[in-house]
Amino acid sequence: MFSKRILFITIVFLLIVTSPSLAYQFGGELNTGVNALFYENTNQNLIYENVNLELIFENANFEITAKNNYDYTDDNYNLDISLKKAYIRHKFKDIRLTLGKQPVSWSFGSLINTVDYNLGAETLDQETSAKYVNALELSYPINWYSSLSLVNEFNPDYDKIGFRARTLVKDYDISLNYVNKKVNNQNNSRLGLSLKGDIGSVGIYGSVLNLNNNTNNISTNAYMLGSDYSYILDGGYGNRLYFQGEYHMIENNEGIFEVLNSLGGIVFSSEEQLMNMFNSDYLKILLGNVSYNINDFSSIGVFSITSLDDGSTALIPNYSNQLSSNTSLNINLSYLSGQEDDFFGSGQLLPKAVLNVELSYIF
Amino acid sequence: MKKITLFLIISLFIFSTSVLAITAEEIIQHRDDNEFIKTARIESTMIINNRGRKLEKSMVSLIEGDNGLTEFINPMDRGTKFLKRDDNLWMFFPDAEDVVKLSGHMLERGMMGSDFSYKDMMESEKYLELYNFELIGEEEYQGRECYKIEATKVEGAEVSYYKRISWIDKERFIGLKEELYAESGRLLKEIVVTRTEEIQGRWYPMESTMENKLRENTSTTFIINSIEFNPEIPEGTFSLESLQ
Repeated sequence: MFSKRILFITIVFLLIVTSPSLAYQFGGELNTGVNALFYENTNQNLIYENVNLELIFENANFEITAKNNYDYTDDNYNLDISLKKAYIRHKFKDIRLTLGKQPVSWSFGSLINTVDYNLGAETLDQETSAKYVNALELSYPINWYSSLSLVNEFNPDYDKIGFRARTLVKDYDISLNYVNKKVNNQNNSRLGLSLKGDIGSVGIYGSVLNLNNNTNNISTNAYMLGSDYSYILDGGYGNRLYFQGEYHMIENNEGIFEVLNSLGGIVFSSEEQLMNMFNSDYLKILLGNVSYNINDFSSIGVFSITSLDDGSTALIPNYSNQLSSNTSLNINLSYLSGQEDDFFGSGQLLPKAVLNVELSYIF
Repeated sequence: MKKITLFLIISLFIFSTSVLAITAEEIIQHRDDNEFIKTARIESTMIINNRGRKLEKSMVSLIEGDNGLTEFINPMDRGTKFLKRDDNLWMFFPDAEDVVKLSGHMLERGMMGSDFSYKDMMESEKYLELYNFELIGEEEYQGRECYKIEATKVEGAEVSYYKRISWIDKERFIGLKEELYAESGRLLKEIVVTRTEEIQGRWYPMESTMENKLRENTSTTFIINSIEFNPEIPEGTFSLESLQ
């Protein structure tokens, strides 16, 4: 209730103090696409249209999303209109304040970010909805590369605060992140450290996470090491092949369930099912991403996640083509190779494969 | 008397040729005086051509020495920003409103799909510090008398191209054409300047097209819609905070 009130006040404030004529940027995006879901015994086809409208003012941002889904299989329509962003921003002498529905993101370039404010797999677009929260953010820049920021989220279901300190040491981007979330009697905190830089022509990055359930005294650690590299064809001056790889180790105890939210889209019936899936102390996951620019307009790539414990893999080949300055075509296929009991297995809960074809127009 | 006259004529000839002969370094110094930017605000458009297909991107850039801040304003990339500090490149993603440091190897990638790499766009040192120069001839190009100068990479300098051959306007000291070569001698790219303007007392290339010689029928045209030299840039502009 409280968050709705904050949101309402923010919107009213925005509408009163600003008008479209004052907006210095107005734009939006139209998407239309098809999702074909292939289960073990059945198929499902969804057709959707999305409209995003964005109004950007000097000190405010307002974005609304309308989604129209049509389930071809059972002839069912579903229209959903929501506010994506609605916030005001003010820069005081030393501090920047942002109030309202806003994205809170602590990315550093990894495929999966276990030390983010909200957990979600960036490459699977799981982060998109999770990043937008009703909150007050205060940011204090210390110098051009260092800053401190504090996030206080307004949500009727839980209390959540976040703190981030970011700096640069010898060209390495270092970030210390802390999140505390209280739900009923449960008190969870996550303390994470991320680092990103270069060794020669190879990009390297890593993170360490400690998740603590203070109520049950459960502590879970997660470690990640990643790297990215570009290989240039034609003797170093032609088209480019881009590689990115990550290795994750997540401690296998009661806390693993929450850390695995960062994988997004993976469904388990219970913590016990997940914990009993492996005998090892750590869950080990390998991620890979390879992309190739066919020309200035189109690219092709494959993203993969493999469980090193059972060898099951999720494969996501993709193709994108910018048809004109405003129009693009994207085709993605997600395929789970594992059996029902495998980590990346489809079972009854997830489709074996999902094909997505989407056309976007941005104005 | 005749001997004295002959001596004077010869001396005058030697003296005048030594004074009037301009060296490659001096030509490049004059060119740097025109084209090297200490501080500027630039509004520009990039048109990427590929086999008849065209993409247009618009941006606003602030430059100060080794630092640069660019914001894209065309619909597809609206709000995307790049901050370059020395050899570090940072990118702002407008959807998530997030700042991420890009890996060093990304600097050599084509900027937003163009034939200009991030390094091409952001190489901020004066050419005199990066290359050794040799005047290899004089030619007429686009109806203008030009010096033809070969530049070879100074050992240890970090540059995108090993060798450059430039056609520099003799009167205006502005580059009109440039060929970029690999160490193997292979021609990689060619830049042709199609429009120049005198702004605040200096000649500057306002429209140029870069052709990637390794790809067929592709080119990127870079058009400067407006440029202001030495504007007042507020303190803290080239910071991660200003990307947000």
